[in-house]
Amino acid sequence: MTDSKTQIVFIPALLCDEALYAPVIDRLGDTVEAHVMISPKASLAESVTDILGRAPDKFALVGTSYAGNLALEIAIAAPERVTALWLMGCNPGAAEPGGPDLPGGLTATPDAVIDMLGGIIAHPDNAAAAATFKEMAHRIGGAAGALQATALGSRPDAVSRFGVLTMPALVLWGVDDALVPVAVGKALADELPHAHFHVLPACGHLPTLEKPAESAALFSEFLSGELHHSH
Amino acid sequence: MSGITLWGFNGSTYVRTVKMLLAEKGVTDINQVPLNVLEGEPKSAAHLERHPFGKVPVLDHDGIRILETSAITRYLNDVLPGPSLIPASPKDRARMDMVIGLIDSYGYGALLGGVAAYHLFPDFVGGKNDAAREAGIETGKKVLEFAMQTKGTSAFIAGELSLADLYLAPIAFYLSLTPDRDVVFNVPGFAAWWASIQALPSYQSTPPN
Repeated sequence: MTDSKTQIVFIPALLCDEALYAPVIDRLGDTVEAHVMISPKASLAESVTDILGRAPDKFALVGTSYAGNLALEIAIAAPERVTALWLMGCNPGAAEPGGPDLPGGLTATPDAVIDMLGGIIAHPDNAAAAATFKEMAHRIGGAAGALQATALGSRPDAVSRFGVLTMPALVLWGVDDALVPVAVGKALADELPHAHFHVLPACGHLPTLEKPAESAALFSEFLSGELHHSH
Repeated sequence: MSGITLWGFNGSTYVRTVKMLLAEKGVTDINQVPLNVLEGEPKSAAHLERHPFGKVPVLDHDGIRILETSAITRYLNDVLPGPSLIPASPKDRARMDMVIGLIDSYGYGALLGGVAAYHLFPDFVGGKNDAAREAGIETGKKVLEFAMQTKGTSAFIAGELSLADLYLAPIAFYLSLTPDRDVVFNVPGFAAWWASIQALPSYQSTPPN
């Protein structure tokens, strides 16, 4: 199987689409076959079933933020199919009550909430990344975003089920992530059985969009070190 | 049909206060006419006939037209069956009325007009006003602090769920969507209160849209 392409499933973050990963996928070259899967449903469990039904037999799995939570649930549900995990900007703990009512906000004032998120999602110096986020969000739309936010807001704790996640994991974080602090990423990497942790300087919540060259290089190095050498 | 006509759009916090009360009373079959403040509809001549200052909500029921949320909610609480949203004891009623008074006089303007509008609908308040935002955070926090001191160890602001909670919940919704949330909500007791509100069916069934 050494000459076959590495199958990789990329799941975009809340309100994001394939543009979140395009700059990285472009850099990974033709040794990988990328599948971008979007599954806006009102619970993570429904999206797990949906994506496992569409994904290749075995695949490396990439998720950012909300989709990092979804990736963890997919890997916990089918650890034998997930060869590697790449996680960014996700909080693996249970949703805490008392937070923002994002589903309501994306229903009531989607443009305003998208603008607000656009103002804090990327590093303040990276206006292009913020602009791309807003474009993606308007393509995904408030209704689908509200479903994703509902799933995120009702997520269970994943940490207590990390025991089955023995596949290699890359945990990559922007040091300036204003939505999920870098300390959460460090703790995530510490809790996972087999994880590498990297922090990107001058980077916010969306590393693949904000620092695509560095992100792609770290992921390639991770894949070749963890997957290809073992074949 | 309940025979109730409610004039006003779901984005209005005061309309949501009335709709939460109706939901608590189990009334869903109302005739709502969604005049949109953000699009200027309440200032139309037709609505100025209903309310001299073009405000929402306005209620029509059983031959009477009622203006102003305080009058509407008290009337509906009296005429509709179901649990009362006005405490029976004078002291708890005073707790409720104090907080509603502070919200009407200070909290709404500070938290909605000053903070939430800055982030969510700046065009509606004439653009982003940093001074109004900063003043809104300071004033708004005082209102939230007073509300939570009034609540004390009770489940809700005036003991059981009351109109005071129904006034504050829709405002908290908009604030929760802003980056100032962590500062404004950093008030002892507020997180637990807000979590209780978000769990209410009457809150969940009345999202602005």
